[in-house]
Amino acid sequence: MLSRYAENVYWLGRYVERAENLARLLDTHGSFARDPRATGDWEAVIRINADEEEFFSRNKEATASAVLYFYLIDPKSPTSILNSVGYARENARTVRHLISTELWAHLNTFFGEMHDLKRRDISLARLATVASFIKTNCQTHTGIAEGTLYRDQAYRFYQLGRHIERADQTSRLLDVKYRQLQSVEEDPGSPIDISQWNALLRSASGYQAYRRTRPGSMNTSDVARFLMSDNGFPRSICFCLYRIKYDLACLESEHGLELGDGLRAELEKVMEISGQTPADRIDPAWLHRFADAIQDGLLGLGGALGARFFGVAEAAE
Amino acid sequence: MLKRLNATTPKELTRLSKAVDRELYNLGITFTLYHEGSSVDRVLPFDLIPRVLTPTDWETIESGSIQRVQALNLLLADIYGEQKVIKDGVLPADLVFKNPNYRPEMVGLKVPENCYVNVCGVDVVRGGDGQFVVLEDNARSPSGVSYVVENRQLMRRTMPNLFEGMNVRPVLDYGLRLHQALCEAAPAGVTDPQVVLLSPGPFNSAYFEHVFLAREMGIPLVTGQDMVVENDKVLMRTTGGLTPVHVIYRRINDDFLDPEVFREDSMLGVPGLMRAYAKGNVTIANAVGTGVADDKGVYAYLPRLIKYYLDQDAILPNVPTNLCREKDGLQYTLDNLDKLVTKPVGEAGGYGVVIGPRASQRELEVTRKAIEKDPANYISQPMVELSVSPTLIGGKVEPRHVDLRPFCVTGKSTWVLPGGLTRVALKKGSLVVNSSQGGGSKDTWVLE
Repeated sequence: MLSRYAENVYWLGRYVERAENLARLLDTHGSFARDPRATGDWEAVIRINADEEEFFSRNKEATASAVLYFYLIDPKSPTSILNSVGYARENARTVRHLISTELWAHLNTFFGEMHDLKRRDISLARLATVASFIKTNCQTHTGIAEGTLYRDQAYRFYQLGRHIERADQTSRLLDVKYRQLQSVEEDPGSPIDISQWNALLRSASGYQAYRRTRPGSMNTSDVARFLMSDNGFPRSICFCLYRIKYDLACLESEHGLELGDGLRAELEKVMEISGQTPADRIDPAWLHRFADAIQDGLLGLGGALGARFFGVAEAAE
Repeated sequence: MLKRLNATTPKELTRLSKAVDRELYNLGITFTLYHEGSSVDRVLPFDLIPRVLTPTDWETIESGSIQRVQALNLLLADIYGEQKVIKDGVLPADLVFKNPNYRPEMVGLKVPENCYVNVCGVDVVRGGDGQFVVLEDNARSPSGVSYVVENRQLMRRTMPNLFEGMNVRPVLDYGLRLHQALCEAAPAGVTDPQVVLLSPGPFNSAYFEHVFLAREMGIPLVTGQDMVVENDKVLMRTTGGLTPVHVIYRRINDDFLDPEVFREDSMLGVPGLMRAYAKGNVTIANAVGTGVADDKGVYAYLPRLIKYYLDQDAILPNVPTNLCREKDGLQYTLDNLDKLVTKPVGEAGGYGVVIGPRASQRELEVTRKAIEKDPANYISQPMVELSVSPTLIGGKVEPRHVDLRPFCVTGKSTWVLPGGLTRVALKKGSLVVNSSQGGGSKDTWVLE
């Protein structure tokens, strides 16, 4: 397969996943923010995405409406969901002959609908609706991909993009909540604590699974452990990394591609970081360092993947 | 068909038509218009009422098109070979050597099967006397075939009952036929050729068509950056390393193919491609330098060239053409500007065409000055009364002018896609069918 196609499907997977997760993040934050006892700290969302410079170059204050505009439909913001869906569409357009007509047509329509959203459609009061609209469309995309993508190299690279992005985003979702909790007096089991973790789990669609696997427990450390290292939860960091390992192995065994030492080393490094979850109470400062290390590791992994298969290193010479 | 169409109310037709437009947009079956620096994706409007060609009509178009393709290929082999046609005084030397699309790099370079024009679009219209005549030959990178196939698929989904018992000849095998022809044109000795489609990339207005063709042929859609030339062989970058390429169906102009030979600033081509081509290690389709043969100036000589090479009369006649490069032609054109259609030789897409009887006095004066300044760049032709076809306009069926572009695919022999692209001028009375200027398209039915 052409290197460029591999890169395009990889980014197709990443951008759709990014859009979905950002919608989840905003949704969770929105439901926290509406709790009168919690802080409505929208700046946290900007910090966690490291978008301070971009955001404050055009906004004075991180109000709910400014942040929502910036992340949902701002055409000038490179990280807005509108742009993620747009980039996904551009990548899909380039590889249209590799993907099904349905996959393309849906993405094209989804982008059109995102494009039509106005400021009034994305007020805080309507956030749940618009977030659900975005999630549903991303999930429809995933479903069409699952049901129609031909299982060749393209599929593996698509999955790699998806899971690298998902692991990255789950680490950010955890981090943003922990940073907020640092500012709140921690009182495990208090109503505010429980309602926040509840919302976080729901936004990651992990509430039911968490309840089922950890009946009777709802504390900060257990929820964090669930999102970091549960082997059965498809959005946990650990799960994503296993999936990445599996898809890389398939590229090697089914398609005869050699991974090379650099890529292998990056994979081992990030898996080792993820394996260091403590069994007892998790300290917010530790969690923040952990999330950073995971994000760095994934960055290295993505870079090594590009150098090995997309000809990125070669082009940079 | 009429009975079935009559059974559908105009309201229902309009509803179906709107649904089709939406589907086209959602599927991204679009072309891109560039206007003042920004780009807009537009759907080529699709008219629901098919244009029907009888077997007899088609016989003429098909055999006439094949004849022209044969003559064009013989002409190109001659121009880049012995140049007998010039030595024999049939074609003026300056029409060849002063033509910006003449490529001296091609002289003496052998192409497989002596086929230069693997894909040819012959623009045909039906005049007032019912006869089909050729407006122009497109021997570089004719586009539009994707619409032929997509229009048929849309038509079958939208109005399946129209097809019942009609024996419409199929068009869906275009990709297979083209792939087969391109394989036949592979360099000698290559048994399982790797064919690729070379596109300028997603920002090209015809990118949808490139995607379509790559998909239909099951071949990689590449850009220049995906390929390299090593030891005069063309290779493409894949996830598993560099692998050989044998046939390049290119949808970029000659100028951009190889920065070592043509435009140095080209980012779209592959450095060294012409070296590999000259060594016979790769086939480029259409061949480099075909633009010298489909030029509006050479067009005027095609009936004579058919006689010269094939000893046949042209089955599809030309529109009589006055060459402003010649004294008589220039005088006649200037004397009859208000009755003639004038066209710049080097333009495509309907740009710069002035229809005398419909032009204002001022437009005619501007045209006159332009012709006097650079006569060799202009030709003129009498008005051809384009035939009309019933077309759905604002809920009513009205006559609108149409043309036809059949597609001829040549490997070892020539095959013509039954039908072709019917373009329709949606503006009342308009004769300009180009998509960039308010044209639409129709499904074209050739009956068994």
